[in-house]
Amino acid sequence: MIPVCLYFQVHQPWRLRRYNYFDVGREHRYFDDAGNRELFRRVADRCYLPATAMLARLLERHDRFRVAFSVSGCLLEQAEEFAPEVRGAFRRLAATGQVEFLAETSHHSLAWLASRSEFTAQVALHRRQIVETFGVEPRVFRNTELIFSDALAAVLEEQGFAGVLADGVEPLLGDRSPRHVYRAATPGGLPLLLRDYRLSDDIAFRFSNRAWPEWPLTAAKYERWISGSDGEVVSLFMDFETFGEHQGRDTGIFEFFEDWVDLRLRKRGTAFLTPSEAIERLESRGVLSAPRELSWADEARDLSAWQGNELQRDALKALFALETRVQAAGSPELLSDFRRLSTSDHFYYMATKSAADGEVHAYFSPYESPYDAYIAFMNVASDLERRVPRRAASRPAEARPRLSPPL
Amino acid sequence: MRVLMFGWEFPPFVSGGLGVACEGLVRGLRELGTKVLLVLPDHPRARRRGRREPAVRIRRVRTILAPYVTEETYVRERVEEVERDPGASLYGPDLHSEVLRYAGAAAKIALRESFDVIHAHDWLTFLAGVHAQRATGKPLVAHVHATEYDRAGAAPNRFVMAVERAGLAAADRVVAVSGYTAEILGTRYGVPADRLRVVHNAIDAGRPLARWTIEEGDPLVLFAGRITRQKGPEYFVEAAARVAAEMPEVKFAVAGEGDRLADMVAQVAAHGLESRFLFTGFLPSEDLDRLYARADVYVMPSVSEPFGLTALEALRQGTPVILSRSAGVSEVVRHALRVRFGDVDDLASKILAVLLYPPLKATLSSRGREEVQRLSWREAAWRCTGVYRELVRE
Repeated sequence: MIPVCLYFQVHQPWRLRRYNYFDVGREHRYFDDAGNRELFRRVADRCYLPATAMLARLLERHDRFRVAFSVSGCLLEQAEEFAPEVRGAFRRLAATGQVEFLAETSHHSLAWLASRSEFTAQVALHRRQIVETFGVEPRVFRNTELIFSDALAAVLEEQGFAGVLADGVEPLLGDRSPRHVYRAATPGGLPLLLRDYRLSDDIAFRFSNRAWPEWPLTAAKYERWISGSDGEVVSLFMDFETFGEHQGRDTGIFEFFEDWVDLRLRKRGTAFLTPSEAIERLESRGVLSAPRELSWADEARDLSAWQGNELQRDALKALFALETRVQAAGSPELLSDFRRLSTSDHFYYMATKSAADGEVHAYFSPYESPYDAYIAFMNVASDLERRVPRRAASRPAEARPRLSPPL
Repeated sequence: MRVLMFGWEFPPFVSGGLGVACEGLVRGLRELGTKVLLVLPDHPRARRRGRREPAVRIRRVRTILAPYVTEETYVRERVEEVERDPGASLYGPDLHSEVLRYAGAAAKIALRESFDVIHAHDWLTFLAGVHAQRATGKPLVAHVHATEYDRAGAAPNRFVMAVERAGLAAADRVVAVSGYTAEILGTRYGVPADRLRVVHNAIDAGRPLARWTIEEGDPLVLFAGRITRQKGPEYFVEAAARVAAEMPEVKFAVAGEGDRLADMVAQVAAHGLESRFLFTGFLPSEDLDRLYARADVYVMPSVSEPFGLTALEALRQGTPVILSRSAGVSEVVRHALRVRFGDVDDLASKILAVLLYPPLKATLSSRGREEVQRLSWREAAWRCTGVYRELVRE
């Protein structure tokens, strides 16, 4: 039986409030507290609580069941503030010893694309958050939205990680199968585990789509597809919000998943592996190289979901232009605001793509348009810029960026 | 397919969006091989604006009705006209009677012509359309570019509204220029959904980019259109005052005429913004294109805008637009900023964002221009012929 490696992403961004130009210099609270609380409570009730309860039942019934999570620091902060019972629910899963927690950046951020030092700092912060919350040390890394490249793998190897996750896309695999463990193109050959995006998206995207010829997807049918797959491990990676939020309870997603796990565990042998177990037990089948950054987002599976247009590139540049000044200021509030702004979601909302990608971006966005997302972000960044002290000696006094118009 | 069309404005006599839309539609219909006979008012003192006389069959009916007429302007117009030419006492003594007289005279043309469908644009022509429909038994399409509800809000003119209701009730199909207008026609006028169709206005992108010949200089924010309550000129001035307080070098241009012009000028003065504002009066389309091209952002703060063709004209020149959410044009452009009318803080904030964040202006400009290049009057005309076919088949 080919084993399955399950990993669920758990994350909520700190969405910005409606922040207009006249708030700059006057209003230093950037985040939509009421909106974030309301949304978190809703997702907790629809997904986090019932889905963790379902997993708890499965872990209790089957000591061979395994699952992995990557929980962002933003999510842990919000859980603490808005719904502490969510943290407790994940802690109980951690206590079974059958659950692995992965490493990522504390703020589910784009720091990797902007600053090596901030990336490293956020990874270290996340590690502390996971150790403190769950009492386990993460060993395997997954970058924000599965952003991956040779350069990233090299840095992770240096930092001592045991392996890394990426999406099993053609630019990386060529005609090879995603259902093996590979090695990254690094000196030490960092183990690489790849998402089977077809089988993952059958659940995450297509499960409730009645226009899909395979609808309705049953546990038995899905298990036939999995056990009929060649290779050594099927990696199913998806948002945890798939359960109850992206796919509502009334679609039958919970029953489907529970049935499928039960069905799979009726057979003997290794049915599930955590990412660490997969990397330890399976031989590597060769080296895969990603000279350019890849990801699991949009049709293009590259960085275009967050850095595809001029607005998105400008916004990331404007934020990270403040990095050294924020660091030097030594203020926890400034650093926290800065890091919450580095979260990938803010940039995702600014995408101007159309068609299917555009619809997915719009589904997640709290804004009416990508332009509103950019304006709110830039106004907030302007305010942050005014708050961080200038380093008087090292740099000549410069005007506020872009205070004068482009004429 | 032959269409008898009752229009109000047509080049070279154009004062607003109705004339531009009518011309575009007629041109699109001709390209599709639909024959149009256009019946137009013949005003003794109409001002020619622009040069083109399109190749289309036209019948003219003498009247002193003018587009955007009100009861007051009509009576004034008639007094002046009778002073000039005693024969003008033939025209109805008030708006009410002249609209009825015109309808009868225009409908007489219908008896001498052969056609398959009658197409009438806005309330001034609706009764002509209804008379022609009764006289010939041909189906009537009532095309709504604006309603009295848009123009007057809570204080509508009862006569105008009664004419609108009569025309809409008699029409076999009602065409709205936007989903926004269709919604108003459904909820405020009780037009049933099965007779209601949306045909968005369009623009033909073929024109070359205009060049501003005057020296480039300070950032410029533009308002263009009739200066009437409907267009929200006071919100433009309020937002301008907030923008001016943040950016000392910014200037504002107002292109157009209307009954709120004096109020607008007074409001500008009250804010001490005289040196920042330029009032150009009505501009011919070539000059307006140059002004669009020069402006950094075009603002449409309308209270209720059935469509809003000027937004497409601005985008055609690559000028970013900020649109009222109460504007039908929002339905055909994605690459625009939107505001709730009356929210002057949000409007001012968005104007500042376009002026201060260069990538925003660049993206709105390039993506917006791409978007209007995909629109065409031929497409709108094709949708209208679809409506005609529904009726001729019935």
